[in-house]
Amino acid sequence: MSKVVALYQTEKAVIEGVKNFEDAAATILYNKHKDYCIRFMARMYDDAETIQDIYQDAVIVLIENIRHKNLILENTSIQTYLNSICRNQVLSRFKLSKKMKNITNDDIEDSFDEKIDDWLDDLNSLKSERLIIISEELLKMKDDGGKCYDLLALFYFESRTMDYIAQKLEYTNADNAKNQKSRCQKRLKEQVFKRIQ
Amino acid sequence: MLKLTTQHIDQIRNYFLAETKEESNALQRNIAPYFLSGFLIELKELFINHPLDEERLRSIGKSMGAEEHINSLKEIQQSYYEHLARLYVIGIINEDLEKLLNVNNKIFNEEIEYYSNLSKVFRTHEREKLKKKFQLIEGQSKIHDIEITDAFKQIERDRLKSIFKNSNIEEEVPVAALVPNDSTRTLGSKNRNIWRPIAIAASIVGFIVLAGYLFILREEKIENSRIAKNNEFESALFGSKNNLTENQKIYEVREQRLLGFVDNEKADSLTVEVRDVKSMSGLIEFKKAILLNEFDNVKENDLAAKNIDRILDSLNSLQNYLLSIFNTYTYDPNKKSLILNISSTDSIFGIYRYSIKGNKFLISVNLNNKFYNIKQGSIIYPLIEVLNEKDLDELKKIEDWYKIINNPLNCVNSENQFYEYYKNMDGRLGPVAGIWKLDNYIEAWDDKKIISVDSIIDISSWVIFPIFYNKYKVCDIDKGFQGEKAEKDFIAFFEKVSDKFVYSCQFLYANCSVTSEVSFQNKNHFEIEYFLPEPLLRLQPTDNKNIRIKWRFKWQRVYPKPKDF
Repeated sequence: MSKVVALYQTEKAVIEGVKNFEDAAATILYNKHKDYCIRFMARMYDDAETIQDIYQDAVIVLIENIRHKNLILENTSIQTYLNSICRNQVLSRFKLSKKMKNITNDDIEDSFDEKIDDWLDDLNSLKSERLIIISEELLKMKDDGGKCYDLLALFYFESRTMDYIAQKLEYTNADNAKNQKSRCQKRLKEQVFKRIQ
Repeated sequence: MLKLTTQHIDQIRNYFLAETKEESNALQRNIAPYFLSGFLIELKELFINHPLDEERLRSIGKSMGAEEHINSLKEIQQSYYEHLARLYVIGIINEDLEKLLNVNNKIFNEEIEYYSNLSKVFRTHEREKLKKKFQLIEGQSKIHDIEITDAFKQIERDRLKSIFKNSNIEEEVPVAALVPNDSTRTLGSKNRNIWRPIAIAASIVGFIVLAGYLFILREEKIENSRIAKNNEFESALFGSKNNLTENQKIYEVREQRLLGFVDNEKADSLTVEVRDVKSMSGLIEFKKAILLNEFDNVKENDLAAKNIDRILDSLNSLQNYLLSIFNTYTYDPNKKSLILNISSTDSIFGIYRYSIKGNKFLISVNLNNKFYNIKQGSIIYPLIEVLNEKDLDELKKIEDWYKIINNPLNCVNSENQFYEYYKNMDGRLGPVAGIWKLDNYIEAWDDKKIISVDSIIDISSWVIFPIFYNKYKVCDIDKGFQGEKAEKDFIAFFEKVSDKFVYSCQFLYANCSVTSEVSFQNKNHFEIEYFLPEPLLRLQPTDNKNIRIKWRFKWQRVYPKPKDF
């Protein structure tokens, strides 16, 4: 067994890794539960591509819930939780579709009974003009190179401390990182408001 | 009356931007006089309830003698809103935030909207990143499936070929011969009827096999022609493989799939970052070849060269060769990231294969894959994610090595590690490397006279360790010198220039002016002295402006002992 897998042997370790924005943890999470969920959904719906798409969304929901909503799975496993998200998504998406197979309660085994937050908030399409502008300006920052994008993401998205950011982005100390963060934020805001006005 | 200073302004800023109640209380204690005077309370009340009342802000500032800091107070106000808006977005509600949420503060509401939007944008970007990652994983599984299918196809081809070879021999034998004659027959005359259908079936199978083989031959011809075209392309780029002599070691490396090709008409140079190279078998082999092969070559080809210079020379020539391929390349072991700067004249596509010809490093390309544009600064993720344990161990070892020789701030972690290293290198580290005890003291000089001498009691162990090309790092291992966490405020080197060793050092704020020549050969003691540079002297609190401080170091070798040396 590889060391990467060995690092995430327990569910707790995987959840901790996901919480810490570790890419490998997300990969392990995705790979580990895929087969079961896909088989589980295949009993309800035929289209393999759609099922895969649903599974990917479900994993993203789970990852977001762990990261931003402090999801704690005490009495249930990740697999069960994911099954429930997948089941709900399949049922909701294809309730009226003829493609949906007839399923019995026995088919929906091993699922989580409590109400779960299983939908991605409506962020997928950045509809508002402001969101589009912020997104474009951020991506411009990213394309320009430099550390601004990563710095802002670490601070505003991952809620990292300045010490962590300084170490990660190789600033000499937290104060420098903080000053740089302010400069980046100011630059972004100026660009955004200039365009909005 | 109290007058605000710039330092106070910084403290006030920190107070308003405190993350926790504890932090806020501690900061409040720092600026107690201002807090007690009600200044901070008044300021906070203004920030919360009257965000646009600039006149009142001026009046409060004036009362504290802070007229010249009004702009700073305005900045603090803005930062305060930003800070609380961020806390609101990530779901941390504190007392101030509650108050702000209960009043209609226009500026704060705008901040909340802005940070909510920012947060949404980052989440969207993260979702897109995850989605891409998952799709990449799916793509990878498909590639694996194809590879497995190809492998099975090959096995099947080999099997069919072998059957065909056997059937060639059998073709010369008449079908009737397959039927046992009476003398060999053991099952009686009735069995003749059993063998006949088998013989017919065998000839049908033979026919099918022959047809299959002809079809495979045709496929192989197409495949060979494709490979020949590729080889032609490779040869044009890198020269023919046939030019290799038998003695030259070839490190054939697994293909490393990277996405993309360089499309850099507009850019003068291109930077490509290959991330997560823990999974890059190509890089592992590449490093292994650089580090191990070079050492092996020295060992095998030049047994007399038992010194580090020869080895480091080889490494250096390889490094130069690499630099001639890429403008620059850097490997960051922390990010596990290889950054290649490729010159604008190069075009590199699709699948890369690393190989080492002698001491040369090649990248070959395969054109039969999907390509994606790589723009300036693109990040490439290798498709292979998890290596087997052996590879990871190997990578770990090489990375440790690589960290040490490529980063002048790094060193060995402990005396034991040095002993082990020294032993493994079979004394090839040269005369400087070793563990040295250092005794140092400082002299204070005033107008060319010594006015005092202070001995620094702490006698510590130092390792002098080869880092790169005739250069040695002085590492203070007593102070828990830990690889990357090297102290960055002081570094010192010994560098070999002709037959002499030159000591040079660097403080965080200044260079040492010393360039003492030191003779190490068969010497177990030496001394170095220098005056502390001006910028550092300014950091030393002293009343006497004419004072100069001389630092003297006495070194004594403790390992290897003179008899071992």
